[in-house]
Amino acid sequence: MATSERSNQAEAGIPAAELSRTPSEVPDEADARDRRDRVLVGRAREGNERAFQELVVSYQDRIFGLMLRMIGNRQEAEDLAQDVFITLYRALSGWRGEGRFYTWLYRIASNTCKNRIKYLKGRNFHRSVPVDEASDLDDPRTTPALQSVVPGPEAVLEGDRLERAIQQQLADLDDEQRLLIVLRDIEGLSYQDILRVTGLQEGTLKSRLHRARLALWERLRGQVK
Amino acid sequence: MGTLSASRVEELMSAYLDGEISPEDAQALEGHLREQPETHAELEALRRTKALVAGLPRPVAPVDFYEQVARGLRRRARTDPAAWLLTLAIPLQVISIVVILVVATIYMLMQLEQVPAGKLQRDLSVSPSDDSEVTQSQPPTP
Repeated sequence: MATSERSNQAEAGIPAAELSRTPSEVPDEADARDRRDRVLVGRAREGNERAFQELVVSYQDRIFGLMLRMIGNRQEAEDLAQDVFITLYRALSGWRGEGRFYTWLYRIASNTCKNRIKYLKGRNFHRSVPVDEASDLDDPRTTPALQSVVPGPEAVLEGDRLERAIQQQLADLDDEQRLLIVLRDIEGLSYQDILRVTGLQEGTLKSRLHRARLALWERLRGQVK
Repeated sequence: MGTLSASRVEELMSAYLDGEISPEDAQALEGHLREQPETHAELEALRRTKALVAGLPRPVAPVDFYEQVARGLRRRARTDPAAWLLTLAIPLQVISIVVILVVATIYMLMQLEQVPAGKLQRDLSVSPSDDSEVTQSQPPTP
């Protein structure tokens, strides 16, 4: 049972913006987050819809982002992200609490994504991202990144172009390589977390991530100044 | 300090950039970088790739995302065959037990109906072929 302090924290509801920070927090923050998640899971298991809603709100951007970077199609990513949380809800009672909650969530997301990619490949789905869908820069809700540090209209256009190029080349990578880069460099998961999500051995993870980054660089080098 | 193999360098380099390396391994890799300056280019490529990808904007889920999830959960609850089976399971078990009892009762009744009414008396009656039975059945001689 949570202490009164943790109960108050959970009841008050940590703001979504605060929660949207990557899991690559210092260990104390990650521990606090996990404690909070476990309280919410416990309540959701008892049928508390508000608790489940908080869990969804906490992680929806990250899971959606993971799907979008992996699949490259916004509508498909939305559908898959919903599937992840539906699967999560139905599996809540079976979670034994081993490891952090979010690694379990990412594992569900990763498996959902892999299955979907396998299905789409069987239907000759082209994973390449169309130019007009490549970025969320037209979406005002997107947190600007590349363009925010590049001043001026020409530089903004350059930021757009670069972002599209990165997403395009990311989409063309091998599925496993792409997943490792997304989990590490975008989602900010630690190696320990990635090991739990993917089930890889540590040495294998390090080698594959290394090769994935080099493969991506080889595709990008001609487009980066 | 021994020279690192190519596979070992491959294992250590990205981990070094990510800070996911022990001090001993970091030291070994740094020694390798000093001895093999050409590997600096590879390290720099990794660094730039990591920075480029990390700089991608963070996508945001639709504002009504939770509502869509909730709708999906309700839809699945209505159409899930497993849920229907579970709903029907208990009544089916009860029905099965009732059916078995009814069939057993009918069978027993049928078995009883096949037994003739005077069967019990006939069993105790005298049989002409058996003298012992005649002796037993006759009243004692005064």
